[in-house]
Amino acid sequence: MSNDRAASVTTSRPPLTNGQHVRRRGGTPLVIAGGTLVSLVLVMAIVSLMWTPQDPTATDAVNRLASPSATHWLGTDGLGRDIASMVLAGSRVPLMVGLGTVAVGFTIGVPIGIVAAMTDRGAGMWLMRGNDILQAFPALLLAIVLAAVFGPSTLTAVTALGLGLAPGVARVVRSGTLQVLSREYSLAARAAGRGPLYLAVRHVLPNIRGILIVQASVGFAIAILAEAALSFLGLGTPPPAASWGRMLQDGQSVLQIAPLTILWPGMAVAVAVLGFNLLGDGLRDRFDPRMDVTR
Amino acid sequence: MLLNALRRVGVFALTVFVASLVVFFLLGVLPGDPARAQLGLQASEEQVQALREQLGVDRPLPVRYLEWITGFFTGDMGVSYASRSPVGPQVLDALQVTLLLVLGGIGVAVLIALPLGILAAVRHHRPDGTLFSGLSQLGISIPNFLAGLLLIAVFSVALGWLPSGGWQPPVAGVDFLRHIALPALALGLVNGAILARYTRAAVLEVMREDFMRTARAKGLKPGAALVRHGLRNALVPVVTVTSIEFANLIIGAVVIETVFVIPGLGSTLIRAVANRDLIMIQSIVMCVVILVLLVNLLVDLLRPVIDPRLRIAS
Amino acid sequence: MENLTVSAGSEELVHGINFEIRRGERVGLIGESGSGKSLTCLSVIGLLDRGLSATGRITFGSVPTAATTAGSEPEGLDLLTADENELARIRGDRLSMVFQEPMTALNPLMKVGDQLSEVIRIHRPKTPNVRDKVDELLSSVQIPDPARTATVYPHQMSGGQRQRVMLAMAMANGPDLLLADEPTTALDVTVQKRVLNLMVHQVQHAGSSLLFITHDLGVVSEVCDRVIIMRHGRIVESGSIHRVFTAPEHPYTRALIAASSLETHPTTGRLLTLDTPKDFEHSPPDHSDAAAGLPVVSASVPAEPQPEIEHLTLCAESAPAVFNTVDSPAIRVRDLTRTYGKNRVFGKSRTVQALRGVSFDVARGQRFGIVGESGCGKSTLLRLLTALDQPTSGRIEVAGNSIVGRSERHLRWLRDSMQLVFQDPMGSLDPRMSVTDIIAEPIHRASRQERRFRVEELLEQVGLPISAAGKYPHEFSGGQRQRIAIARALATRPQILIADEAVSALDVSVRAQVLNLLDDLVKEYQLTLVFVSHDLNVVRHSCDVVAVMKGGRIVECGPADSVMASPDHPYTAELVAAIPHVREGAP
Repeated sequence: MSNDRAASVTTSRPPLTNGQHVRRRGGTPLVIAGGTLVSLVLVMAIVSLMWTPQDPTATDAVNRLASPSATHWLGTDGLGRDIASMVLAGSRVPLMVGLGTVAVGFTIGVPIGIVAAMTDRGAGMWLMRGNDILQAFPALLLAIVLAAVFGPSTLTAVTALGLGLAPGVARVVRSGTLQVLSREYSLAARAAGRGPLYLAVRHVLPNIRGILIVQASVGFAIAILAEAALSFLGLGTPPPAASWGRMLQDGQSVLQIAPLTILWPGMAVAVAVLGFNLLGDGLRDRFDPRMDVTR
Repeated sequence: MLLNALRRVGVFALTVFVASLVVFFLLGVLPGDPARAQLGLQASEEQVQALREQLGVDRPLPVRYLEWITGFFTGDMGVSYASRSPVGPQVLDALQVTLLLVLGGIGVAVLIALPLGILAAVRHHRPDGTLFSGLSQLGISIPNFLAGLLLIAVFSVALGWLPSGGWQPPVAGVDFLRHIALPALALGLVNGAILARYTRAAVLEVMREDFMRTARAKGLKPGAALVRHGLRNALVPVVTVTSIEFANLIIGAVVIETVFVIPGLGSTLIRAVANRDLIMIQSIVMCVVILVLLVNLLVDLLRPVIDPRLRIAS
Repeated sequence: MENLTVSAGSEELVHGINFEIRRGERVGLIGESGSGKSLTCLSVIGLLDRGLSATGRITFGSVPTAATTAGSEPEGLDLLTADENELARIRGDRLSMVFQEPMTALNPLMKVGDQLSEVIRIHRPKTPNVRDKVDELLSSVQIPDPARTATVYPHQMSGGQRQRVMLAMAMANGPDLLLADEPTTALDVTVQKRVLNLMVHQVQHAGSSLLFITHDLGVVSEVCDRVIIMRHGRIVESGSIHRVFTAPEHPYTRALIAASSLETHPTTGRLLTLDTPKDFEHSPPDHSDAAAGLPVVSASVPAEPQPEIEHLTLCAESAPAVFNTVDSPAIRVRDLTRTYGKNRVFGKSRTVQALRGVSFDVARGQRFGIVGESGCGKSTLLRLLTALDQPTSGRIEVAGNSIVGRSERHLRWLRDSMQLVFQDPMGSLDPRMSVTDIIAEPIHRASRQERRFRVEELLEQVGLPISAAGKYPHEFSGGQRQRIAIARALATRPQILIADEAVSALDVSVRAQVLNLLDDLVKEYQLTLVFVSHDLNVVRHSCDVVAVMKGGRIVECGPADSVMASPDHPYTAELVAAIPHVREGAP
């Protein structure tokens, strides 16, 4: 390792260092911490499919705003529902929304980015112009509009958030692709008579893999935050499905008498988002030492 | 350079135009018949037809678009489907409130982010730098409405210092400040954490630059080198990120206004959504999109002022 | 300035070296990548990267006379133990530095004049008329119109100008010692020549000492009195330029000198190389031994009968000439132009003429060199030759077939018959592909079995073990990577090989090996070689014919030796004169 170090300091003509080509061991603690938190949320979701301490939808007029007890581990909310069960069950929707958002965002963003980079001077310019216009519609605004038009549902949330994620993905993929295409191995492939599809599959995608993983992780975090906000506004996944955002909304109405009701769902959101953020940061350190500062 | 600025303004205008088409057709065409939606299925065909004429939705689309967009820019945004009162004044009032809130938020964010980000970069190899990184990481993981709820729980419910919601106009003086404090703080804390991280990254990046070594080789001490050569260079990416954060803040305000019951664009929008008041939604969404684009335009125009490399020599 | 011992790093990178620089002396520190020369330099000025640490003693400025040895304790400042305040006081004043990369070493947001006046103000806050002093400094480094230049930003200047500004900045306060870390490596040779002359002149004028770090023996012999040769963090040899270059004692030094001046073996005509590194200390002091590189391919390949090559020069702005005309050439280029630029909707469209009417032939089996400095159009020409880009006008024929305006489907024959080797051994191999996949990329139509067989055959031909096939590029050194790139280029058994600065990024010792390999393969495959380089020496060695390009034109073309020996065009003459030579004797 230290020899590499010396080489990097003293090479007479420094090689063009390309972020994702420099394998670094950095970021591992972040990856572990993030991975642990993400796994925790995943386990919560899986467990909640099979078992919850109580029925998360069952109301109990007698035991409203109960303190933690053997039956209600974390107490009950304003309608007497079991908070622990709701927090567990509430992990499913954010994960689904995250997955859907990243899927939609990548399906649209990655091809746009690659095609835009490959046809940089012609169609690519117009693609990016369109991308800029799409970027003027923030994801959450899009989600609110779609909820207004089609009614609130998981599907509209995923569509809107995915559409909101896509321009950012396209931008990052485009710059990564441009970098790969400017490398001499891409020229060599073209000089060997290989077409654009081959280039995209064999050279571009493997080399922007790191960028994609980071984007997916960050996309997850953004989607979970946005989903919570939508549910909070009453525009997310409709009841009876449990949702952290709606728990927070319910909690606000009893904030004056039972401020602790917002604590657990709030922590759940923070843990999930923190997990994906840490994971994204750790992976970024690993794949791309330069933080993407300029968009 | 002037030519370049004009080009950007041209692109801005074009983008606004395309965006308005998107907004209009998304909200004006997709949702079906607004009159039927207002009156419900029980209403007779005549009633619906009458309302259609009253709302002007029976005419061809291009005409409606032209009418809407000219009306939008002259302040005559049409009549609310729900309240049957003019949309324009409502939107303008709400816009003022939201702008104040967003400016407050960005103020808080910048005040937190710049000093902390720089400090964390300079001390990145020490424990306090790491601690700061952890805090900012936690900061960006908390949704702003949760931050708002927590602030209410502490400063309104527990301590009783500040109101838990509501709004006073700036002429109310101290009362205005008391009402804007918590929402602006909630907005600024979260966005400040993001901004601080970017500031830290930008400063770290700059500290690795060759010209910083040159500055040291000239005989500047590390601190002086950072102040004289580093910060302005770090500012270039930070300004860009601030503009993005500005856009995020506008969206964040939508949620925060609901938390604090503030009569801004956001709470008006959510109410309009609940009422399926499409003309209101249309106008507010257009307003927000123009705001976002305007901030981007301003930053695009500002960057060459900071960075001479972006001034294209003619 | 006297006696210093340095060791650095958590793992030792520089192993306790000692040397001294006397007042007014110019010392060159030479070594290849990883020799620790830059680390040594940075520890002198105390700007080592975090994580690296230096121990030992670097004593600065105290000894008026030269006759001091390690034993005596002068009361100079120990640069390694000095605190930040002390260091800051002498940096830029008595001790200054010029860095390698002129493009990034200046603050992009600050006017050049302000950056210059800053270094004066830091150390002499009360200097009156700093403005005038700045103008004076700028004119002393021969920058035209200093008053105007002081108000521009670095990005508006060329690399050479920026390096002059750096030099002016370093010399502003008349330092006792100037450190220069590869200051001209990033510059074109003609610019390098001027900057070096300036540097020597400035240092002499100010009576400063100079520590000059470089990998280039030629450069050092033009600049320095004394030379120190480093290898793997140790000093291998040191002495006066004259002594070291005429009678090198250490075998490494001998081999280095041989490799950098492209000396050839008297009987085989092959370039002398550094042999396997570990054998040095024991290898007998005989050149022929170090020359044993790869198995020599049988010399029985019949030499192509060389037709008479005309030595032509572009007369000033006359009708564009056709160079190197031959019958039925491998490559024929006529009136080739390429204009870059974009038409904008708003504003004026800007265009750059990269090529302005280039015409030449390359005969079959010929080794055709193209020489020029950055921006001369040689890269554009290559992209056009390989049909990776389309010309604005003009014709290109390869083996009699036009390649202009053909769709990719109609260029398949070209892709098989013409291949490329690039400059950057890092960037030319996809880090995510195995060596087998990389080499087999051009022969994707062959069966799996055929491909594997061919890859193994090629690996052997370029002198790599078969076991390399399953590995990935990062497991290889720069020279080995270039061998892989060559193997890939030969996979289709092309008739034409285009080498774009193929050895420019390599250390001199590796360079000689790769050039030898290229020579062998050109003979074995009977290749037509188009060799593009900024380095006239390399081209002279590797090519029969050389074309000199400037400003998008060929200005002179002829047999390599003849062009080098009697350049006609003034630019060629300047180019030839600017090549730093390993001189046998101090300048």
